[in-house]
Amino acid sequence: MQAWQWPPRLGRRGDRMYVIEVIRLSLHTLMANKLRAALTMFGISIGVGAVIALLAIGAGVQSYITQQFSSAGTNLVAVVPGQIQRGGGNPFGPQAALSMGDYRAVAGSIPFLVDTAVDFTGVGNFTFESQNSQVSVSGVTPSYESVRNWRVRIGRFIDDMDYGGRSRVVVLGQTVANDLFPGQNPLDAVVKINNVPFRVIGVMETKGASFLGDQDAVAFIPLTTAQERLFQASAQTKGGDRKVSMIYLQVTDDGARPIVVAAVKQLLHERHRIAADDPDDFSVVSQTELINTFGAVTGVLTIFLGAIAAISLLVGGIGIMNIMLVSVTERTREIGLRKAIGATSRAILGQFLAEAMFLSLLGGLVGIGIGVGGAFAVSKVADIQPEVQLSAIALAVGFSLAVGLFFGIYPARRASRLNPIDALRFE
Amino acid sequence: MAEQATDKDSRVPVIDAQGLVKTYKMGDIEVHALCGVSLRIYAGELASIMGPSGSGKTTLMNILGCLDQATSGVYKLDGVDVDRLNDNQLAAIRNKKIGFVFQSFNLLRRTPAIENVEQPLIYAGVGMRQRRERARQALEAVGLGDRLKHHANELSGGQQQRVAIARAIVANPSLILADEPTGNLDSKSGEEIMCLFQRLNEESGITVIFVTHDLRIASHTRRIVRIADGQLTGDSAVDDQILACPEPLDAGMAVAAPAGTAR
Ligand SMILES: Nc1ncnc2c1ncn2[C@@H]1O[C@H](COP(=O)(O)OP(=O)(O)O)[C@@H](O)[C@H]1O
Ligand SMILES: [Mg+2]
Repeated sequence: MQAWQWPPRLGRRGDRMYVIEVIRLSLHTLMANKLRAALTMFGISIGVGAVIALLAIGAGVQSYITQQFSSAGTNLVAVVPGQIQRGGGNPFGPQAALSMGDYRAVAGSIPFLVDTAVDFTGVGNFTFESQNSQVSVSGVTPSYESVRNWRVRIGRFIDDMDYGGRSRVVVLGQTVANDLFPGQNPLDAVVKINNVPFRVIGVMETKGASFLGDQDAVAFIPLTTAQERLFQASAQTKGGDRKVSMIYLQVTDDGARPIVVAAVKQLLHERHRIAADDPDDFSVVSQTELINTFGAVTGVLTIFLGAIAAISLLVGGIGIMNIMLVSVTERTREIGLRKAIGATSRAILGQFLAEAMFLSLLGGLVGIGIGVGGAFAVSKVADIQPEVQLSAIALAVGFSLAVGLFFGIYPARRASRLNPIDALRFE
Repeated sequence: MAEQATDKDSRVPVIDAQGLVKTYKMGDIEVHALCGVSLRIYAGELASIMGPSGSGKTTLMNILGCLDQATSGVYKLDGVDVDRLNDNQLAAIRNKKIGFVFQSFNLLRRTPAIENVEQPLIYAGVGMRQRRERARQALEAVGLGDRLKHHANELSGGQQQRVAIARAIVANPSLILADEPTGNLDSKSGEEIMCLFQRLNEESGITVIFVTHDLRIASHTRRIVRIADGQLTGDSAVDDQILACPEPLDAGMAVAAPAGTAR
């Protein structure tokens, strides 16, 4: 006989040992109920499979859109003052400025350009009768409409006559038109911008909202009018030239884009006298619109897929909880016995939790197979090439484990709290 | 009365219960399962508790086995006041100090005999290899050395109860509590089980308390405690007239093994 510690304690050694035992025990139980375990697992598998497949399809759709955009030929390169990557870009700041001289130099000497446009943007206070609105006003060249591929819906855009004559004409974005002229035809109406009267000559087509905000809350006037009349003071550069806010370059094709970007950088380095290791005071951005559109599409897609993932995994989790509750009831006597022979509540909790976690983990692993297979099947029937990402797999499996833990904890606690006497009496 | 039988012995009793009361509340009705039970049992005793159904035997055993706690009264196990222990300490006592044998065996059904016997050692933190070895020894001690791999549901009632006894002794407890261990068995298997308890008690000095309402079964013990309506009504020593077991018992479990195979 051994000398007992009195009162005895379950030692640390027992605890550590128990982790291995618990895994063995729960595997044993699951093997004893193969069909039930398989069906429960399958609920999780479907959830995990759905997440992986849908995220893969989502990624495929993104690539597809990129392709569509570039083949549509929106080869737009934009030049803006400041450093947008570092968040320091301030188009109106004194140190960061692009001028009409820069624009002319770029437009005149850079190769592979189909067309160019330029704008100078400020904020105008619009009034019409009793309506009042703060709007971003862009002075633009007549080429702006075609370069940005953004057309007027009614009326006409700014033309060479307006540009040459510094006319006080304005083309409204849809939101501005709606705000100032609810239910009315704005054409030929006279609005006041910062108290200067302008005649409305057109309304742009709707562009919609992106994650940057409402793109239709704008108005266009001739560049000359903006620089020399409306925003005369703020448009002055130190060198006596006039500022521009953004230069748009429409490039001949995809291949030319890097050449154009490099040439613009070199030209502006010289013009702005920037030393080789000094930071640029301008940025060259390509296909910003594409990126913007992306942001919107990806956002919607992610929310949509997240919802599906959450729902299907939730259903799988409820399945686990249901089976575990049945199992706890069925095995009430076993729990009573285990307590009678020395199992602590924690040990019982661990055993049942391990079973739930096993179900969800195995379910998750099978789900990876289903997800990858599903994505592959989609690629056979649709134009999209799904891209299975490792991060999506990790996410789905992590999620399934969390589901197992979350839905397993209640039945396991219930088991661990059973009174051994009642449990042993249970028929 | 109970004291007189053993008070001459000055050892610390294994079980020292004073004035145990257990009251169950069922809605407005109070059921007095135990009304002041005092009992001392010393190391190495083989005692039976007899009483009609509903007299409080199981309730008393549950309290003595630290599965339940009395409504009032003092219960000391090996000199330690059980009332003061927390759940984990109680679990540890059940694990290391007490071996339970139940009327309905309570084995894990689709599990080999040897794994059933190992279970208490898992909770004691005994390593796999040592566990196997000790479980094998325990099964041999109850005459089931040739049934190690049999699943519980492939064994006869008597064999199942012997597996349960092996499970009760595997952790070397100081006390075995058996609640009507022969209640589900025919008289022949019951007799075998009683002889097994008797032999375990004689050979390793383990304290055994069991509950029965069969006087013939009780006659295998050296002391009979009687209970009725939650109160002790008698306590008698049967030192000399203890019912003898069949001869071959002395030669290990020679008697139990063939009986098992015959079934
Ligand atoms: N959990 C319980 N709840 C209510 N009453 C109980 C409970 N357990 C036992 N009793 C009652 O206590 C009395 C003694 O029961 P028990 O100890 O099981 O008797 P025995 O084992 O001698 O047949 C009985 O009247 C029984 O109905
Ligand atoms: Mg009873």
